[in-house]
Amino acid sequence: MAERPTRIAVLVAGMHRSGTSLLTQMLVGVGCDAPRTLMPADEHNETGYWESEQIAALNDAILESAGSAWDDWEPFGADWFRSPTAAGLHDRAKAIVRGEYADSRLLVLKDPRIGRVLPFWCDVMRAVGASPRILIPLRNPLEVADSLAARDTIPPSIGTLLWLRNVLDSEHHSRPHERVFVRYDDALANWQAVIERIGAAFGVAWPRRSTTAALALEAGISPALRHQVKQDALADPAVSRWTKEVFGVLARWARDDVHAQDEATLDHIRTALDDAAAVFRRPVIVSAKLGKQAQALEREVEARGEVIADRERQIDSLRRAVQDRDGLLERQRGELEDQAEQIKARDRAVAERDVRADALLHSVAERDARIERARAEMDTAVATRDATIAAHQRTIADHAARLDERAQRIDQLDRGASADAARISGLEHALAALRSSMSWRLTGPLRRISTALRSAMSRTGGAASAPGRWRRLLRRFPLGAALRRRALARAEQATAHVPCGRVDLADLNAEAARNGGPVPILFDSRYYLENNADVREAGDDPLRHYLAHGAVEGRLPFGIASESIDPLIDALHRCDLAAPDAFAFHANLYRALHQDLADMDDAGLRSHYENNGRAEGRMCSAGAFLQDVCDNPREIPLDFNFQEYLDLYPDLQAAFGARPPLEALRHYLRSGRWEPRLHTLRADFGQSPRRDAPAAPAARPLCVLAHVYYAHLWPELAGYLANLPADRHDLHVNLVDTTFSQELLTQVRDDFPQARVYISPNVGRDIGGHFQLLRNIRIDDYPLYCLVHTKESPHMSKGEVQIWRRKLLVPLLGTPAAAAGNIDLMLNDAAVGMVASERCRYTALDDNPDKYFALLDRLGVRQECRDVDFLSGTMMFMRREVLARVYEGAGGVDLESGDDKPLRFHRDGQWAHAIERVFAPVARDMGYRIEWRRGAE
Amino acid sequence: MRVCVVCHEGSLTGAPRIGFDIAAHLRERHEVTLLAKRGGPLAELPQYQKLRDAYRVLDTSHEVSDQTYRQRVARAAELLAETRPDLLYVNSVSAGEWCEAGSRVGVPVVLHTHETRVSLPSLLSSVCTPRVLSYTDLLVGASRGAVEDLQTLTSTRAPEWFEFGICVDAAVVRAGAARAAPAPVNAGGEALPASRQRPTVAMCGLAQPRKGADIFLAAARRAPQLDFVWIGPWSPPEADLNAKTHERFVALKLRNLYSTGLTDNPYAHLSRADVFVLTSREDPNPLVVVEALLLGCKTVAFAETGASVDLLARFGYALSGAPDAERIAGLLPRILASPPGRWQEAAAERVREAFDSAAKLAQLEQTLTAFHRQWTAERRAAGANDEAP
Repeated sequence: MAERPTRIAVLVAGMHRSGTSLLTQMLVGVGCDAPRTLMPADEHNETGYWESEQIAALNDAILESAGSAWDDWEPFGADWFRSPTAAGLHDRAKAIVRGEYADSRLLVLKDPRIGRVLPFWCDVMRAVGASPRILIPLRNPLEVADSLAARDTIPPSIGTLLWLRNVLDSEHHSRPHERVFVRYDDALANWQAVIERIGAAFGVAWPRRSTTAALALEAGISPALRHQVKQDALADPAVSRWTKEVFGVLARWARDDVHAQDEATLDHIRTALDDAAAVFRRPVIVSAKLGKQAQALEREVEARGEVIADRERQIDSLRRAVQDRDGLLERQRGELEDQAEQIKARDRAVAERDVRADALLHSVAERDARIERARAEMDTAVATRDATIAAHQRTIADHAARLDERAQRIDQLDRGASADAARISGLEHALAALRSSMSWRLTGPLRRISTALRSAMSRTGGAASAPGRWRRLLRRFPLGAALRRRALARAEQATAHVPCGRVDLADLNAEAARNGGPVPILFDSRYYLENNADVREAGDDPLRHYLAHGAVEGRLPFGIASESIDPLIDALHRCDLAAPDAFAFHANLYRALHQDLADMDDAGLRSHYENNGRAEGRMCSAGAFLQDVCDNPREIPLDFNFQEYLDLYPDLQAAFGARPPLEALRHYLRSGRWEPRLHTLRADFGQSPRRDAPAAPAARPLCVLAHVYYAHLWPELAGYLANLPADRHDLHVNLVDTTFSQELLTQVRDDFPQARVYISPNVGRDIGGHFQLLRNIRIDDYPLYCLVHTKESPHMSKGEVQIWRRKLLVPLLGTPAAAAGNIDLMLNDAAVGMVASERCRYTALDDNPDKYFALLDRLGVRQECRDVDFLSGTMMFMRREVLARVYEGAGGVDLESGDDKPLRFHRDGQWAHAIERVFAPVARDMGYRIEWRRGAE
Repeated sequence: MRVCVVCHEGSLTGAPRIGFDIAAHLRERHEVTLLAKRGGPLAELPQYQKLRDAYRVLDTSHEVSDQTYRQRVARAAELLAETRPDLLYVNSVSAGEWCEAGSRVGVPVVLHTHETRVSLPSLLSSVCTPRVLSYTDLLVGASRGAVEDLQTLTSTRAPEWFEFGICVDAAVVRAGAARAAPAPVNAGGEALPASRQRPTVAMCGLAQPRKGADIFLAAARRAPQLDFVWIGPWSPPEADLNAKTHERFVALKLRNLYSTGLTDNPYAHLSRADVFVLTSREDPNPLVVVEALLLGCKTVAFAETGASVDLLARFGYALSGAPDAERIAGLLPRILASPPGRWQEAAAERVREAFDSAAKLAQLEQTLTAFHRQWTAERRAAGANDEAP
């Protein structure tokens, strides 16, 4: 049921492109409500379409359901309005209207399609309570046709046909309603009058008829919007009579008012058009199709024309480029011609030079001839001289004969010298092999005792012992009381059994060395004779026999076997862990393991174990002890001596002196042997000859220790080192982290390819560098050492220190002769312990007395040798024994880092300064003299 | 001559490789059996393929077996009684139970010692026995120091000894260097760029504290301007301490620290390094130092590491003292600052001559043959004396 009309709906019908949008815009401008979803503007309608997208879509659907379309000129079937399809679409239309306009009381609905289906929309409006008012814009049909052709490529003849259909349908369907016909031209010319007229016709007072609204509409309505302008259609002969008549009637209605008598004319034409449609439908469709194709072809022709124009522009551009290239080619051709000219000029110059060269060759030929003549003259002169030389040669031959005689004499002397040298070399190798062993180092303290004893022996000439003297000597060594007593007794015993007369220890040592072994420290003549019947029966001197044969044959020099194979050790050593009795009670072991039972006899011990010990879990068997300390009984040294093991080490004396003896063995097996510690005073261990002595150490007698801190002084030092005979020394160089560089290393290796180079932290000044090198050297491999370094002192001027360096180095290495002479001196004179520069001899302690005397104490230097008289600058030749003693004694001190220290640090007071001072006292203490050299001025 | 060579393991480290080299050389003219107390990847290397049918893994190492020393000796004696070799070559003190077994069975025993005073005490007390030299007829030493250390710590003098030193096959090293290898990766999984924009520092071995893996890591941290490549596996899973080192490697995620993982061709990586730094705390005779020098690599080691420092004092960079990350980081930029000097160009050739494996192995074979001849003659003489009325 339709709602009672309380609202007004202005339906803008009429033909497409006839100003429907303009009039709708005007109506909205004066207060009509537009739909919510407006179709956007485009190039065909710059101010917008002012129509609902949804309603336009619905109208397309309506037309499609009736087999029609917006550009259909055939009649729209009247039956459709009564069809179920129409009824279905009716509800959808109502819903769209409600959605687009809500409760609007004055709405405007515009769509050019409406004219074809106006009854449908009038019904819809009534159904939503709106009274429809019909506004039909009118435009010259020729302009409409042109506009359709521009927008939709519809041929103008079809365009006018569409205009006729749309206008006739709009007029016909709008008759029952209030309606107004408005000319598009009028709306553009005087929109206000048009609005007034529409309002009056519809009985509507426009809600927004203000000045502001008027100004806004003025701004939006412009004659420029009208793109197709044609003459009056009525005057155009190309327009059909029907069109002219319809346009004439409606134009009159738009100007004056609707005249009902004209409706018959319009109905007649509409009927005729409907009839004609049935007749001309097919040709018109074909015509329209052909028209569209023709237009498409025209557009393609236009596009092709543009392409051709573009190609022509490209051809012009390429033509200009070719012209540019031609110009360039021309210029290059000119340059080539210029260059050809230059080549020709040069060819001419070459030809001229050839001429000059020929002249020179001729000149050379002349000179050759002159030289040839001069050579002939020289040959004559040479022949004369040859005769003179022959005479001289005869004289020389006489002299050579006399020289041969002398050379033979020299050969004899050389052979003698070679034999001596070979003997010396053999002795040195044997000695070095001996001293290369680890046990040699471990027995250092004992060796020092031995040295002192031998020294004393040599001073007493092998005379009867002097107990007071031995005691004084032994006091210098940190020995336990028992060990001191034992050493004293053996020393006296050894002295007492030396054959009568003066003992030449050097001779004995040489003899021992020839046989591959040294003189034993503690030789027991009585024991040796008692235990070696063959010696006793032969009446040989026991010591000489030992040196010549016994050592090689493995005979013991004193009663170590009988003394050291302790019954306990023997019992343990013989224990077979797999045997059942290995874990049986053993009285001696039980006693030796438990100090509180030391005074009990065997029976008491057995009783104690049965009654108490077992319950207390006391150890009682060899097997239990062995399982506790080692894997195999044979790991226990047969010559292990409980007391000597403790005597050798004061820390063990303190820890185990009051404890059961087996505790000492337990310590040895668990810790001592790995540290390693000696388990007996057997001083021959490691000194007897080996069947396979290691490869002989370096045959060169001198080891040079060069410490290089100041890289810029290396070339100077290298110059001095180059004076050393290459085949008599090895060079070890120490660089320091602080000043190390690849360039310095390369320089050192380029200068001395055989040198061994190390890099160390900057600790202990030059002394630290020398000590660092010694850590990598077997000190016994060389009899002689030479200490040098790049001397510079921050607290002295460069000139002063340069002079100081010269004073230090010139006497040592200033010339090849000086260097070789110093080596020879030390090799030939065993009394010389050091060679150093007289000019750098120094006798002041300055700021370093504490460290100096502390070192002397540590090194055990005698009081009478402690005078301060040393080489200041630490560059010297030195005998191995002196260096080794200082290194062993002072190598462990905590030397100071030299980086970033003030001048005071470098001047004096450090450990390095103290060590520098003790070399000379140590040498004197060892009985050596110091050769102070002045060198060449 | 039938020779039985016993190695303590078949890992890629120095001593087993020397043992395999000796076995491979002897096999050319003798009948050789090669036994390893513990397996490893060494046997897979191409140069040892010819030993394949002579090789056997026993799994009697103390690291994989709970057998006591006595049980191991008994087992070894059984095997020797079965095979009755003419000569037993024990390639490490770590396989020292074979010396006693050989002595028990009456086979001439040769012991090759590679170990020094640092590792010997624990070996002698738990793996081997201090009496090992009393069962040995000929001692072969990796160095004079190794022989002296063993003699001192066992209080026993070897009857005879021969200094073998170390040797490398230059052809194998150079062929390996010429082969391609996968790029090392850092803890973040990034591969070392092949374009080598920055200098590269290398170290080789099983990453563990003895090899100074932690020192290498610390040096990498101190020198971020250099790339550090550890040639070898970073994390042996069985060792807690090593795992901690690996955890630290992962945790720090240093972008300049790379690892190759387990590789059978370290030479490809060595040849690409600018400098090789031996960070080991104790490594008496590392082959890799010689190999690095052979490949023309600037090579650095610390004096307290072992005997190789004497070699580097001549041909490389010998640093006094113990390995120290700070010193490495401080010195490396200066070592890398300029190209190698003339001395280094000549070093590779001189090292090749000095450590040529062909010459050394031939000398060893000669010594073993002479020793065996003498031993057999003495045995015969002793037997004749025993039989005399």
